[in-house]
Amino acid sequence: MSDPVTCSMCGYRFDPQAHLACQSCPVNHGCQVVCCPSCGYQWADPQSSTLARFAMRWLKPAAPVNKNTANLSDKRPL
Amino acid sequence: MHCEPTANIQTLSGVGSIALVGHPNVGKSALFHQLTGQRVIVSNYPGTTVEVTRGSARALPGVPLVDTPGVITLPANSEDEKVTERVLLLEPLQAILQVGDAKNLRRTLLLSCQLAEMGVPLVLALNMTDEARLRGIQLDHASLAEALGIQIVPTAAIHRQGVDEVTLALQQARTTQFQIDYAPEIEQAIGRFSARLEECVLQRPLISPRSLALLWLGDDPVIKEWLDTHLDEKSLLELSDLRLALQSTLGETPARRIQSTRFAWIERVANTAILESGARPAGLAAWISQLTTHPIWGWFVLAGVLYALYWFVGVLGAGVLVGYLEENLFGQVLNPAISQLVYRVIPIAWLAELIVGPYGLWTMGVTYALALILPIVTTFFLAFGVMEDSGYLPRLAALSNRMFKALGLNGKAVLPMVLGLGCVTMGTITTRVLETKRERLLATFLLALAIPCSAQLGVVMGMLAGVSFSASLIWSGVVLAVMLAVGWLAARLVPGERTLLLVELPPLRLPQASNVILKTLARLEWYAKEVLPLFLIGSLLMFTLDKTGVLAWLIKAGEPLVTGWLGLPPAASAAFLMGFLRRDFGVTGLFDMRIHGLLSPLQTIVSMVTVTLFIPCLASVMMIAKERNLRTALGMLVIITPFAILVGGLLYRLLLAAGWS
Repeated sequence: MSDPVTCSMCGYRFDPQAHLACQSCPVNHGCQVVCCPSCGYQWADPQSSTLARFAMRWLKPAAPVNKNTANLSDKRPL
Repeated sequence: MHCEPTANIQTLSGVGSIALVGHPNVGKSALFHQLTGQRVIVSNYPGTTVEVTRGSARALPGVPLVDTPGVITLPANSEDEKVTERVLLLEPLQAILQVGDAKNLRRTLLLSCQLAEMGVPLVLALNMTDEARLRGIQLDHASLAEALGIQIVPTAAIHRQGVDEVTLALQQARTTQFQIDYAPEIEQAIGRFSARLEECVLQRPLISPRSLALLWLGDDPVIKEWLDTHLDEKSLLELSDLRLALQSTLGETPARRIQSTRFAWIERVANTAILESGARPAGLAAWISQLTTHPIWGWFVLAGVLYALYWFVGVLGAGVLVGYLEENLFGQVLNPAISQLVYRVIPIAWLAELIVGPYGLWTMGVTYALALILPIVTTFFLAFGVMEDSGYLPRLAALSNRMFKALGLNGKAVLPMVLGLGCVTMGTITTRVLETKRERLLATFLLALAIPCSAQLGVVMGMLAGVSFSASLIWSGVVLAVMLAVGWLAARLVPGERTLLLVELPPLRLPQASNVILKTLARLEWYAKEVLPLFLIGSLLMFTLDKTGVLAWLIKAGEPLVTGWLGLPPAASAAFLMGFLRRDFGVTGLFDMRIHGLLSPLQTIVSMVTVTLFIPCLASVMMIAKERNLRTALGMLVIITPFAILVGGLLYRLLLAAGWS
């Protein structure tokens, strides 16, 4: 189990390593792309990038803490 | 009610499976995987394209678990909700495990009360308690358990917290006597419905007649389907009359009255069960947050964001950085030196040209990728990272939803469109969330036609910045107008029921520089891996076409369209050809022409609009073929290409008449 990530689009938190679809993909090895299982938004995962991991020695990523979040209950349906 | 974990786990004795039910985004699948492990079967629910996952509970041998698609509300509206309801209605269940969001109790309770009314043994896993705690939310689980008459288990599935307690609660799951008292007229209708069901149907579903009646009164399509096959015509007519009579007595739809009664119950329970509701966003961030989704001011904010992008990506990235890299480093230092070296080392002329000729692997492939694209996408990815981490993207989805709604399009269509800004290929996959084939086809068409992916957007913005900000506005205006016109027309040609778009809006926050930089580096690495080989293949293709004389023939053949209709130099045909491989490759070819003074401001805008309206890339065509079919993909190619050229030509004439040159 790896660190959970938060989708920038829908706010869903998930473990990128726990994706069954990814594990069964023949080109999964070396794939850097994370896809949100909730909304389908995708991005390149810094944890799987050689360049980003190298830079992490100097730049420590900030922990994703969601305080004071507005929920669906705060918004009327659009 | 809290449960203590135990080492002595007993198996359930009943027959049937346990269904996991919950809203989207509540961690239902995460809990399912914690309960089942990796050995699961994912398959389409019979007769639908909706996936349902099945597995066996690790701690409950022989008990099948089914992970149902997320439901927003019952009665069912979407295909996902219908599948979940079919599981509840038609499958033999020994229990339901509702997965709820501890951060959003009211929304969770709306589903809880409906599931509890079904009369099937029920357990509520209140998930994401870790996030709720971080927000200062505290719930009284005992009062919730008492109100619903079921076991409540707080969980944080992603961290495996509360999973053993859920297993234990499932073993002890029992039917609740819970029911909400509705208006007397509704109660009377429920009674009459139940009596009719008792008389006519021998094999009733597991869920209670009361719950079936409530779904029927709410005009639920799944229960209607079921009744159609189980009741004779006379009884069906009688039940329809019953609902109509109830509606006329109530003065509103029974569904509305039922929901408002449930909301009143939820309010009462929530007021007791929520001990601490957590801090609400306040101050400047909340004000800006409201502004970004405001129906009028939201568009001004978007214009401001685009203007900032124009300066950062266009002026800094495409102007200053490309100027330094392409003109100074590559143009004056690297390319002359490498050309000299290659011609000296390789005596065969065509082989040397393959590397450093006009369509050479180095002079075109590598130079385009490193000197032209790299600085632009770097600045764009930095800006995009800021937009992501600030929480602006879901707000953009909410804002554009209003526009889509005004056009008469399905609210859910917004998501693939906004995701298409990241990658059109992925946006095409996301069209699966849409309910009907027509909606999926329409969204795929709009994506292929008018949504530029992030890389292309960056290069287009960079190139237009070299002209003026008004050029960027003209490009945005034309592309948006095309999208709206096609969307409006298509919504009229293929009308359908509109559905709500529900997205969780995270707080607006100041992005962390380190996070943005790391994301940008990861994106750049991914982009380089994906794009560099394609640029090299593209260069090889162009080189082959050039050497065989096919390119010259194609340029000549395309002259009436490219020069005569679009008003572009004949050489732009080569860039359009490259655009078929990948839109940003074509845009880079045009960018190169612009840098070398071969395109006027007018020609730059026309060429950008035309290329943007082209099919995005080969990968997206393949994805359309996979998601729809090959005929649809080819059909789109046949429609979109002439349409792009038509719009480009019309724009050329319009701008020419307006005095552009």
